[in-house]
Amino acid sequence: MKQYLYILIITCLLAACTGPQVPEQYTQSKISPRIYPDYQEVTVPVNIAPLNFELLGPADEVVVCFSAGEEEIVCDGPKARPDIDDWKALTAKAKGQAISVEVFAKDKEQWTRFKPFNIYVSLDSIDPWISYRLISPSYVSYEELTLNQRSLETFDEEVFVDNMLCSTESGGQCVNCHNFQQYNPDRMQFHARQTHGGTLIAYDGELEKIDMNNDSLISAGVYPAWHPTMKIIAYSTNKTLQCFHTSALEKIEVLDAESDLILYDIDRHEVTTIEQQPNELEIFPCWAPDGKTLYFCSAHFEYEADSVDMGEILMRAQEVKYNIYRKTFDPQTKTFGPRELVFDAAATDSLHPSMSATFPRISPDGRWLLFTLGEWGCFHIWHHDADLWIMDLNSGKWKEESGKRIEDNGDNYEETVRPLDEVNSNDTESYHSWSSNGRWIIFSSRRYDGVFTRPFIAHIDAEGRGSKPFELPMRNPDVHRQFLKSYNVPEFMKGRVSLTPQQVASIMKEEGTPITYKSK
Amino acid sequence: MVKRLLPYLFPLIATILLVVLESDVLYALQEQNLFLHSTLFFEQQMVKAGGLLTWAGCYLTQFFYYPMLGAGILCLLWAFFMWLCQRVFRLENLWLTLIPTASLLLTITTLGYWVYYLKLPGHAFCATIGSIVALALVWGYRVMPRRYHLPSIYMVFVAGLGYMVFGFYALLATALIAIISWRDKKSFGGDFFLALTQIILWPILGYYYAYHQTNIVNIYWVALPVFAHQGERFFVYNLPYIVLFASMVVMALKPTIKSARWLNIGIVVVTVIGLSLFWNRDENLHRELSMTRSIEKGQWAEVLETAKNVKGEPTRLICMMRNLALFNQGQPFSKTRDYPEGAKRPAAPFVIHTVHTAGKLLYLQYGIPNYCYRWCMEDGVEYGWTVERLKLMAMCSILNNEMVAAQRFVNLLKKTDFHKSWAKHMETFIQDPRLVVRAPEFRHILPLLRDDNFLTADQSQQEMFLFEQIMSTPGATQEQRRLAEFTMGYYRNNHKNLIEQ
Repeated sequence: MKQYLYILIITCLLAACTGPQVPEQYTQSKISPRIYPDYQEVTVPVNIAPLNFELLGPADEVVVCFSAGEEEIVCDGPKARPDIDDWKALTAKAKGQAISVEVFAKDKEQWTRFKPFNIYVSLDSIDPWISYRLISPSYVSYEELTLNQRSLETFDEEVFVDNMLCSTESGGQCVNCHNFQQYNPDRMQFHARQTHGGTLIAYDGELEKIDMNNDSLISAGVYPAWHPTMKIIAYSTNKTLQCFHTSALEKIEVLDAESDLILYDIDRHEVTTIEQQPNELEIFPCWAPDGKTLYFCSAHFEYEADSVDMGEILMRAQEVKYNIYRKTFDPQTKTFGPRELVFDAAATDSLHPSMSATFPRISPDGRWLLFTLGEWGCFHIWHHDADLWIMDLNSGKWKEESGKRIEDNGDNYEETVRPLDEVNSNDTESYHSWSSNGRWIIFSSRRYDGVFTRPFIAHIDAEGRGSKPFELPMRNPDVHRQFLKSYNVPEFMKGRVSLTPQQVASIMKEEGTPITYKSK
Repeated sequence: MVKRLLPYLFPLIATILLVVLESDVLYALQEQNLFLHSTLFFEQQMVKAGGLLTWAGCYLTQFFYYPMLGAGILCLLWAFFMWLCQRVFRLENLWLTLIPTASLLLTITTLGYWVYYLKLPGHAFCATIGSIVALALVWGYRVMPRRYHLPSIYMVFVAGLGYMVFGFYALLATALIAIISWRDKKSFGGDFFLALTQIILWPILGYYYAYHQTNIVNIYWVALPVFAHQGERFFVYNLPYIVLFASMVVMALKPTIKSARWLNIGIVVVTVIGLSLFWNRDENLHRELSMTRSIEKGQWAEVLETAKNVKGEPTRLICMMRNLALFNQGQPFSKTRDYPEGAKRPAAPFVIHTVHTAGKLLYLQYGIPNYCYRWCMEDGVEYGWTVERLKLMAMCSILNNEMVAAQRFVNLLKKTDFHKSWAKHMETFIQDPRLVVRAPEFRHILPLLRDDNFLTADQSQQEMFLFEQIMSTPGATQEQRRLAEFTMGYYRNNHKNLIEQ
């Protein structure tokens, strides 16, 4: 009797150890499987975490087979979640080629094999970490805000700033605009607003809080751009207002009534003005990788009133259109040259309506300018028409003096600057950044529901062509369909931030070091 | 025997009172609550100390969907609490447990407008479950064999692990253990000293190594509600909690208080006086909640019936909902003369903006889904996600033809226990938007929707905004102009009171 029991136990154990099997008999379907996230025909870096997904629609049983050469991973259940070590072996095998994915679904005792699809594994690797802010897509209120870091190679996620550690019932603060010097997690800055407000700058293990408020400035620093090599940060200063659409699906609008550009010297705690033109709203500074040029956006806006009038700009909000400019920078003297027009988004011609360009970002090789283009305004994250555009800065097909879009020699303008259609969707694409090797971009998109932004990653080849983007892989693939927060300002990092939320909170609660303002 | 069990009548009486007097509040509590059957929801609760308690609190609060069912669960829990008190503290007089049980009742009945503003998830049940857990943990200490330092080891686990899942209530349990240890040994050494160190230590360890969502100044109070608004704290609402914990401490210190007729009568009298003093009996709030529920069901006649029965001066919300009902019944503004009029300030210790209460629903009903959606999002972020907010956001998204967004909110509501059918009903509109035109939930709103768009802000002043920015502007629809008569008339009649608020 005992023997039978042992045999039964061993049989059960063996059965439990046997992994899921690919069905041998099935009906072949010509339809592609409906999966979330949509990872069909995407290009991924070799070091990416498993692309877990789930089959949408009813099925009694699901089997998914990932294969490359002789390597094979078979998963069962509605959520395909390959083991991370197996996945690493598979991507290593498929490097420069593709992983074939077969999805089988059983319904009413009948297995169906959907049309297989590929996941292309690029030879280009990706930075191992990203950082982002998790924020509810709210309007004025805020409560829990965190700056998080996430390993792209695994699913590890950590919080390194949490505003709730400094919040009390009498006041909280917004944390925003994290920015790194050259993907270095040890050189980072972010802002806190309202209670315990200030700018926190981490530099090789030192964390300092700065009080950048000064009577000579419109505001403390807002949108940052850390110089690639020097201990200086360019900021915009903005007088910002928020208002709400009565019917439009955009729902909220954020506008600047005034804005300028400043330069902050970290060691000297000193601020100087970069750009303060009358009737110009300057914003979104961005350094070229060589640190000798500063790109930025600027909108020409003349108030009919005698002075800055929030009501007027609200009424004329759709007239606010930003162009992309640049200034040369001399690192020796820390002086800037005059502004040059790079992309005249606001110009109207027979082919192109007047538009507004924001968030210029230069690829690490200095060739590509990636930016967001929307109909108007600067807060494109809430504009459903906002798309990513790319411009070839090497072609020289834009005219420097007049900033005309079409170059004199008659070359086709579309070859120089074009929407990144391979990457864009029908909904918002906005904040974007380049990986350190310039072969990947990460950007925010509201493509699933128009409300919650999710980070997407796309490959960009040497000719500036994008691949179909893929959503940040998650351990539980369904989580983004339930999660009521948006991913904000995704940035690549070469490593993980070593600061803890508690360390940040203790510095945040201190008084900030005041800055001195030095006029030009 | 029967005489000894007499105190157990109290939970039953309390439950009957709750159902009879507070059904609207109980229903509102579950509308302002959210429990989802999902791993993510559980994980999101567990990121704070006391997460298991709030998760359980949210789970039980949803039973107020049927007020009698929720109140019945409370009744059983309170009876269990009384029984545990007697067992754990070895009480000789069960009547003593009336005071903490009444305090538990008051943690619900004192709330008033806090039902909209409290940030602690599942707060209606947290005190009850937390107190029961604290007692159970103390009981564990008492029955622990007195060898190999097992009681001391147990206490360290109670404080450490307990703090992580039950927050303050584990510290309370440890404090009660300390008292019992001191009482038994008449010494401040041993377990008493150990307990004190654990109470101090674990929250600090939790702050530095486990949690990053609680300010260090609040680490000892996690899982207790904070009665604060706009930077002002209202300690009076903490009184039921103070009495609850103090009475548990007294029971731990002095379990030998004998049952005596005069003492028992005294306890009953004190309980009754305490309940009548602190029970929030704001008629207007109850009517607002009742009218809100009627509007959600499309029962306009009941809205008017409730408005008619107002005794004394109604609040602005009562009048706005009444006006909306009259409008939807096709009545002229002159009909408002048949109803009590006014703009009484809500009975709350702070300024109540309608947008934080029923104003969101009104924005939807007035045909401005963007503003309804906005305030749902704002309040969801600040005060937490609730069934009511998700429902309204789903409806706004359907009206805006944002069907994917609507599906997201509907999918979440499908993970609840009591709002699944509502969610499935809304799903029919997502799958076939043509049905919206005929749907009783939407058809009266459609003529109020307008095509034009402009940028503006309500500054939390709903009537003024509705009148000045929406209904009197050139693009207003015919129906909006008809509704404007009500808003304008009401605003004109009560202008002074409204400005003062």
